[in-house]
Amino acid sequence: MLSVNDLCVHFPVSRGLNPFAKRKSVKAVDGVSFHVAREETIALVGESGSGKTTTGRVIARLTDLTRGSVEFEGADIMKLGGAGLKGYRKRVQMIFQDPYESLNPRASIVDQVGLPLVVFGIAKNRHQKEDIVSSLLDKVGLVHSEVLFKYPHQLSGGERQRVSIARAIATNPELVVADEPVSMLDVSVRAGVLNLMQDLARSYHLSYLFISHDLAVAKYMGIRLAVMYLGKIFELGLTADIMSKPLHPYTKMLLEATPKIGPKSVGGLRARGEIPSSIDIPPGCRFHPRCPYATDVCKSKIPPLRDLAETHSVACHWAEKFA
Amino acid sequence: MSAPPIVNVSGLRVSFWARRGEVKAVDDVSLQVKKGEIMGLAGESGCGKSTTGLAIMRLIKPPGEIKDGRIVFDGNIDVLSLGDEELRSFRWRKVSMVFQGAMNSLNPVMTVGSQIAEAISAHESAREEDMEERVAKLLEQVGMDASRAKDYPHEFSGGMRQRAVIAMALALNPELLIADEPTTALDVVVQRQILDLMIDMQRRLNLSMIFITHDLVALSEFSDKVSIMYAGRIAEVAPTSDLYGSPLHPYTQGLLESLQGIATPGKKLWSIPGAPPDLAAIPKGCRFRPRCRYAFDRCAAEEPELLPVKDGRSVACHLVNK
Repeated sequence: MLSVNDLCVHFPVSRGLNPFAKRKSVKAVDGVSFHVAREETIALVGESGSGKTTTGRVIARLTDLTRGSVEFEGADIMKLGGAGLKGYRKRVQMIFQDPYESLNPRASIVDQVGLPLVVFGIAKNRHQKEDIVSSLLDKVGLVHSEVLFKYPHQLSGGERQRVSIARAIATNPELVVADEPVSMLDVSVRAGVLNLMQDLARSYHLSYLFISHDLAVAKYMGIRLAVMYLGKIFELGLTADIMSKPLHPYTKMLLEATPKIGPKSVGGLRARGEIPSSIDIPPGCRFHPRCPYATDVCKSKIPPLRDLAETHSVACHWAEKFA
Repeated sequence: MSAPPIVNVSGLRVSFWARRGEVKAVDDVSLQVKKGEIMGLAGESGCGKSTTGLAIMRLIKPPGEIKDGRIVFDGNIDVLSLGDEELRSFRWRKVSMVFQGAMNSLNPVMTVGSQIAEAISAHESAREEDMEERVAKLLEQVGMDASRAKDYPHEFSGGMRQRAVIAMALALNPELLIADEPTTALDVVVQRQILDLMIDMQRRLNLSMIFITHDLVALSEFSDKVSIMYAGRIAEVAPTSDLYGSPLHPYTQGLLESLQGIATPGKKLWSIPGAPPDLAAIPKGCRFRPRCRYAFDRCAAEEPELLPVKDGRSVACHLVNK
């Protein structure tokens, strides 16, 4: 349904006062390709600065791309305009990380969730809008009679995120880009929102692009997983395969670093270094300064994302050694 | 006779005065931390865990107020009755704190080295010549190059800034370190490095530590004992392996169930219904009752006390303390 081909998003950096300084750019996304099938959830994981949010924003047509293309059912989304773009926005919706900021503080819940209904002509009048919003609120596990005329500040974080979800599904979309939808929520509330998102995926036949820094959450939600680092996908495959047998050293380090319940076992791959700036990306494999297995090839040659199995691709020169 | 606990808090109550009335952030909390022990203080946002930490440091400022309770440090210092001068020598030398988001609170126009030096000279008179060497030693202790003392905070990465903040907290060899969400704003890999560093320091210096966090998973790896807080009270205290192996309070059970469930994709997650109560209008009886799947009549009428169960475990639940 959606295919992303060699996507690059570069943001120019100010030269400051020096007119002779070289024009630099932040390479937020630097050659990313993947596809999303109908009714599939793919999770995009990575640390801050890995480009996962920017990728999601391009797909939601909120950020322009520098190079590459994004095709939705074969049509280039960057070429859409006017009615075409409006139709696309109806089919592709986004849920943001912070439910405190993504809702308008001065609009009541019925108006927030009802806005897309009005924009897309789904609700013809106020009465109809209230009816549809009520049923949407019930679907996301809220009691509509309690929240319909409330304002965001009167709701808890979990309730607010449910309102954002109701707003996203109001147009009956086919793809929802969910950018860290539970990272601001407490554990006891998080589980409920994840359950809800899975239920909605089934009843609305949704696809999710689920963006997360939390491997545990990504593992729970995603059938497929893409691990990103500094604007590139390092490993792409079925979540279960990657979790049980990571092939990229970075994925290994990430899995090793993620806390697990129980006393910590000693050994394993040590966490080394920090993600560098996406202005000065290391040459060759961009992970080589932190990689314990790096060789001379890694310092000069960029490893392409190669298929190691039908459903498992890795961007590492030495991936076979870890298989 | 065993040694007295490094800190013994009993019946602590802290309230904040807001427009909508008294917000009881900490409502009758008692806890002990033994020497050389890491106690995890866990709970969700607004449960009072940070406020408890701040109260031990005597850092509650108006509109907040310590209303009641006793905090005894090392068996002989009555923290709540210390005067201003005594507080100066208590803070940082006896107890120090790594604050949440502290890495972003470094002064941007001072070098990191001079900020650490400032922390030292605020609490004792040290000679200028010795200072440089002390700062260098502290930085090396937290895995940084001593030459970086001359750099400014913006020249450091997030993880390095957090290391500098830890160096600062350890500058005066405190006996107790209160760490308030020290790794929350960091990425997983860096978080792992900082956790490893803190545990290493704790063992090497035989520090006692209160580790405040919402991350129950991380806590399970290194804490000796865990206290679970809910809406201003302690719901359960237990040695770490007992707590994770057989949680007794329905709230702890719910939290752990949703954490463990996440490991099995496809399975529906258990989630605790509802949200924590408004601390300005705490329900009568057990404050967890509206969300509890086992609640019965006694829970609505009577607030359960935190009572010992067995081998170092205490629970505040009528179901357990029948």
